[in-house]
Amino acid sequence: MTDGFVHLHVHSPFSFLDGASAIDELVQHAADLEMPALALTDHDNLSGAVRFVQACTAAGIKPIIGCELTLAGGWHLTALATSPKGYANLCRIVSAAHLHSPRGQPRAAWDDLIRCREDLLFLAGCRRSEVPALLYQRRFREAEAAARRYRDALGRDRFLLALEGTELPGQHGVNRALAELAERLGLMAVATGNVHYATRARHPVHDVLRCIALGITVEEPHPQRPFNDQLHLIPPAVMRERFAWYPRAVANTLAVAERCQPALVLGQPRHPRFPLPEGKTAQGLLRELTWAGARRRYGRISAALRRRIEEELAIIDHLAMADYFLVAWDVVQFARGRGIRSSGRGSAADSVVAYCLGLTDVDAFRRNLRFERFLSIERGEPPDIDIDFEAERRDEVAAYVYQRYGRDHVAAVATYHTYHARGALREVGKALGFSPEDIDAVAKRMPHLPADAIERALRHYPELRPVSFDGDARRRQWLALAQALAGFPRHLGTHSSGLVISATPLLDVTPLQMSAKGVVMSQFDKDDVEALGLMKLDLLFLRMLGAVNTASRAVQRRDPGFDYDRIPDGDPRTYQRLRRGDTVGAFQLESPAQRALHPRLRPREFEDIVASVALIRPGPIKGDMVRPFIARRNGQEPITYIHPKLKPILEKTYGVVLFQEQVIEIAREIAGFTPGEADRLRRAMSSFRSQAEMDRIGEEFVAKAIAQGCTPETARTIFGYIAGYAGYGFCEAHAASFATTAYKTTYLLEHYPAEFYAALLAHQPMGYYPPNTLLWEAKRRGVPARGPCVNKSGPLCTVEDDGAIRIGLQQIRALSGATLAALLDARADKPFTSLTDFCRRVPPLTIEEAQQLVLAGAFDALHANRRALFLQLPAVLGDSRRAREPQGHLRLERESPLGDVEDFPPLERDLREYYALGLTVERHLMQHWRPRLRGRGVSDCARARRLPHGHPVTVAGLCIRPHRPPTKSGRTVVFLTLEDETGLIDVTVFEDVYMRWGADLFVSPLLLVSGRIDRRDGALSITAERVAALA
Amino acid sequence: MRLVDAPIDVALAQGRLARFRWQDRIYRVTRIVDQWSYLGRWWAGEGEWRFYRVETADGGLFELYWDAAADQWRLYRVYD
Repeated sequence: MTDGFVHLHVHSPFSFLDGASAIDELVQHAADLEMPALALTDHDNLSGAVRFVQACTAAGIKPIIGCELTLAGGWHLTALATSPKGYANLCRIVSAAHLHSPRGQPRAAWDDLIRCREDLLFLAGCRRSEVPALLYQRRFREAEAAARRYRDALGRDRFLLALEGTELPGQHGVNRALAELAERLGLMAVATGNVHYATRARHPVHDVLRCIALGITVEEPHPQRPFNDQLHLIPPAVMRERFAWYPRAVANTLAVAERCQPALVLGQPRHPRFPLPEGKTAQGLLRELTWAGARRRYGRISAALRRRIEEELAIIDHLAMADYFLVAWDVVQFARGRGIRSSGRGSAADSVVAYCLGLTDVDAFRRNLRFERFLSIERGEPPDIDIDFEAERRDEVAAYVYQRYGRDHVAAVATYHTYHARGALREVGKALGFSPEDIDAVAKRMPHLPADAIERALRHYPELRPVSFDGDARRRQWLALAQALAGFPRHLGTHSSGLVISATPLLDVTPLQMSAKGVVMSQFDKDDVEALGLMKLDLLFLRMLGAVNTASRAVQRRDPGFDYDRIPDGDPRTYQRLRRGDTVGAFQLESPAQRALHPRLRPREFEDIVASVALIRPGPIKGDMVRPFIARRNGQEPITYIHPKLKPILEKTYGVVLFQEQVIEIAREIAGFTPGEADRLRRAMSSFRSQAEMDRIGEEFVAKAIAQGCTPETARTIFGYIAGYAGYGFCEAHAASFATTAYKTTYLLEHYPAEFYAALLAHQPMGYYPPNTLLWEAKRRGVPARGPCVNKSGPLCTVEDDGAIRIGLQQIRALSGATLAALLDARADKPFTSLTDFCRRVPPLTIEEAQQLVLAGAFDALHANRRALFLQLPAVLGDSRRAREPQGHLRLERESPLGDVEDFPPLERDLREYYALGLTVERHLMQHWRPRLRGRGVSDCARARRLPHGHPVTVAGLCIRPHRPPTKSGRTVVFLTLEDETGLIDVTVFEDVYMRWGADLFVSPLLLVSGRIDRRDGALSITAERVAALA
Repeated sequence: MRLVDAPIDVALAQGRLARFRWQDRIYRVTRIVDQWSYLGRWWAGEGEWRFYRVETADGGLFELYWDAAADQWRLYRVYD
């Protein structure tokens, strides 16, 4: 293809705010333009490389991996990898640029370029490259000297001059000068664009992104904004026309593409090597540990168990995954040794080997869980071992992994923070010059949705009724541009739990950079890392595990024999609590849906908890499995199977499809899928994007089932079961793993409410409910609560000797770690005697911190009048500062003169406390509205809960967690909880009511709801008929 | 150098700039010295301005542009 052309300078959205077309669009457009290859050269990173290779492979064009480097001095230089070695070198250059420069300002060092130049091509071309920049300034001699310097350092065959065809002023002259230079210095010259989007129509998106990056509006000129709309994938014919005077530059792009051989090879396993004791193999050690664990877990090993373990070990051996298991085992051993609570989750609990190694606590053998859900020879993919650790100590575990495998072999996984509706509207609105008020009016009402769903949301959500983009071209532009950012990465973040561990140095496969948290991370996200063949270990943090530890320690102070790990099974009071649905605070069982489920399900044993954890998921809900499950479980409906093969699969769930493993089993038994095919089916169902795709999956299932002897009708009905489920459910192993913690935390809730609620408050944010709800639940359980106190509170919420919860100082908004540490230090000497004393002895204290301490009530024990203290603060704080100065004068008797100031009125006092603490201790906020509400016939929650089914009722309260989960009908139903001083009541708002009255529902913190009491099988809620903001 | 920014009549020959009329005088274009594209305030409806810096037979140096949105040629600058 001698008349072809290849773009060698291309930016994607991974140039972060400098690329306006998705990688797939760029690649597809290049393929449509019949380009045989395409380069990707994002700014200073390779984050787009994996998906670029995948997209090019799918489109049948050659991917060229590159990067536009920023050099010391700010000059740009584009590098292209010609081989895997070149790619590894590029990773090293990019990583060094990030790790040796201030965060966010990567600069590639000249020495690194020279050291790592092998199998790389370097292009100097854009206006910000040194040689062309000097030519634009008509400094010809200096340009030539610079070109010689690059050529001599990088090599004549590696350094190319790029002639840009982007229609800039002066560009033609510069291009001619570059061509002459190339001839004179014996360098290759290539024609390039400077691609930032696929087609010219995307120029406004690019310009807005640049404005966002530069923090300016579109009306402000800036040299780093695009000059024209020529930064698209200019078609080859146009490039040939623009370079008709120098056709060699166009032809040379094909020669460069030819030189660039596949540089990034995907799917090549790069698992870590576990450091083995002398003379051991990984598989040998794994066998030893597994059998030792099996003896510990099971005592006697039956023939069936032996067979199961041997089968698992054989698959692990076949896939060479022994090291992976050993790495995970070693991490858990470390945590145990340090007393760090851990718990395996996810499909790892389908493995008996994982159970024997202590990675999980779910007995996969007894539960007959399928190993291939976790690992299969057909899939051949590394398994996901996800382990929860208590949140506060998760980083200790991660530090151990770094130390164990070396910093060159371990890194955190990245996440790409992408634009969603609210963020896109905010940033685009600002760039287009809308006022903060205009932007707030739109963004604050916008639900959490993908950016391209804004228009649909405007038609659908009543709370968006006051928002309009119609009738004004500027606002329509705002909407269109915000939608255009859908899915674009905004910046790189650190994955909260994932670590990659590699046998070979990570720099061979991934560039590294420093995260905001100060850990080294890959530039790839979890999917890319998996595609690269790297092993990812998920060290998750689960705040509930920390809360459990805190609660256990508190309980042990008054009950030294208490052991969380020996909480008795089948505790009757715990099950009674579950059956009442009285589980606010319990792990996984506290949501309104769970609380409504339990009175109907009437759990009596652990398996009921496993089922309830799995039932309240989108799959079972959308698949209409909750009601039949409950009816069958309680003997109100016969348990039937439309095919005898379903009985052994669905028996334990009363004939209902509840777990992912059952989907796999059905595919195997009914349609004769192989284990790998069945798992692929499950995955395809989890990620299906269209009805057409689901129909195709269904046809395959039905055809195979008929071939297995099923009637077409039965095959379709069975597929209906699993299609309804559609993969959005838990695997049984995961549900069982969570159910253990769910049961034990319900036990704590029943027997040790003070300690458990204090621990939940100490480990916020976590769980479903805000701190205020948790505290008032504790109070309703009869647990006294006391506000924060500068003399008595610790950093966290605690239980005092008389059983009361004392609010911790960390609960106070805006209190910095430094101030808290100084406070505790000073208090260790002697208690504070006054506000003045406090201000004098806690030097880092800021005025805002002092104000929040006062308003939170932390000085109540010293001086009960918060308003008086609040007014005194500026003077007292000023005096304290002056007193600490070398020649400071002490005049610290400021508190008394304002002592006769009246305190804040009660409502204001409580609202300020609520703002400072996120809760009120003494009075519930709703108590302030109660007298007026009573006069209007509005019930409190407790009274409403006593009303019979169908009774009309009006209740007011704090609106807790309004949400719109998926429903089986596909219609919108809003669930929320109202909270007042007497308790909680759940509210269901059906679509018609929501559409009519929902404008304030997601906006107002206090709601007035009228409707009817709905009592079903012991569960209670209000079906709303009208919703309004409580004024 | 003088900023003019006034409409002019332009004649093309085989798609290339041949001559233009300004202030009742016709200028024959002998060479295109440079050309570039500029996209102005797209958010306000402005389209592409395609600029040409040209030499004329009488030795003059001018900048012309074609305003795509207005479908109009304009003389932008004169280099005196």
